[in-house]
Amino acid sequence: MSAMILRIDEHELHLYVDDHLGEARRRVVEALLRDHPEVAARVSDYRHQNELMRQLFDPVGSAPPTDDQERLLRALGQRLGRSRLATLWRPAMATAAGLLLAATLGAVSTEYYDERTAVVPEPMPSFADTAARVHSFYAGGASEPTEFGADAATKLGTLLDKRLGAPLRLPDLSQKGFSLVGGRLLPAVDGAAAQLLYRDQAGRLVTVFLGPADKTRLTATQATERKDLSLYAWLDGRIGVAVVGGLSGDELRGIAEAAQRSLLPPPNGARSEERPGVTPDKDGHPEASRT
Amino acid sequence: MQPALAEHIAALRRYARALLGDRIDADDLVQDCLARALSRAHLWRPGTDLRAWLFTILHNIHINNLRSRRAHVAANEDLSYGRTARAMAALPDQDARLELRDLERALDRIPDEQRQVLLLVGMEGMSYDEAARVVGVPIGTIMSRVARGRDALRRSMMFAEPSLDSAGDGRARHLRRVK
Repeated sequence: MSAMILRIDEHELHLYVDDHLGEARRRVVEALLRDHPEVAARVSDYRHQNELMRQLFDPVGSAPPTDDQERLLRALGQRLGRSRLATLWRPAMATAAGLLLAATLGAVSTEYYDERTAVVPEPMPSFADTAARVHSFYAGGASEPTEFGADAATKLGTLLDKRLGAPLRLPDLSQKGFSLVGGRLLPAVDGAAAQLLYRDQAGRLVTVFLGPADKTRLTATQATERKDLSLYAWLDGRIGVAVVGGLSGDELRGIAEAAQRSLLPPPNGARSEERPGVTPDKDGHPEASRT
Repeated sequence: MQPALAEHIAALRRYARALLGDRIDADDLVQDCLARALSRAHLWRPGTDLRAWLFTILHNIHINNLRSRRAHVAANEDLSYGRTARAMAALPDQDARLELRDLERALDRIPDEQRQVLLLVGMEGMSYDEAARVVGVPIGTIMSRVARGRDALRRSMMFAEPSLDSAGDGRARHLRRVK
């Protein structure tokens, strides 16, 4: 019985050997190892293999390179150093460009790339990462928080409709005291992503991020709580939806569930129930696209 | 020169040597890799992972070399790994030295693609994701290569033949170590 469980966790066992497991899973594996000395022996052997490989080949790395290598190395160092200098402007732009890129690269396959293109992607940002970065950047005061005001958000819905190829409804968070401030369109592979920004009475901001999720590793509902940011993401058909904000995980989850409910196709005749006024302080009440 | 670059080159040399076994082949591989990196330096994007870029270049050259060698050598000849004896760390401890020799032989016997991955993950400390990008296969493939490679090494070391230059036998050594 336990052998079954361990078989399931075989890959995790190797991640454990290489110290790539998070705290929680590490503890689980360690508990398992305490009960299964035969598995613990394997783990200790695997780790020992790693040590032996290093012992065996580390001296090769620290030995002086050949003359030809030395020459190439110096030239390469200069070339790379120059291209680094030539692009010193990047850090300034990095945040803005980076998150657009993140949204764009979000769908680049991580499975294969060719060094000929010399584009070595950093680990692909997941849908959730992109959503979190979009929120931190635009809600963090780094820029105008929105591109469209709440009254124009309908337009955003229409724009996104075309690009996502799926009808977009704007989530209603009024139940939780959040009203739509506005939104912006962001580039993404396969079209576009959108950020909708909501604010409550206390001025707290919450982002609803919508975008194509096909190739962005979002396959299931995902909840994340970081030190000052919580996130809840799920799939709505082919569209990924993430709710992000600097709230507690529990509160954010409640808001996400409200958004989730409001995105469900309304039961017949229930339209009046559906959107009791997304922006009570503005006349341009964003009417979402029809379902 | 950037200190990071020097570290990456040391890692490339270590990796090439472990991969090929032969010192001269390994030096050639690293040299080809550096030459190609230099000719493509303008394509490298600052801020991206330089180590992964260099390892990917080296990996692709290695794969090409294997292919062209395979095309020229009889099919039943093992050419995935050089058989030349390697310089061994001068360790005072005989047991430890024998164990290193066993590992070296065990590495010798596993398929090249398993060896690549074990070295990238186990010796170079790459994440499975990074190794997947260097080798150009899905991460699941990396996982199963790691699992199969480690099992093969383990079996091989557990049943290492008694060495000719020692009175001890491999199994006893192994058992002592495992405790």
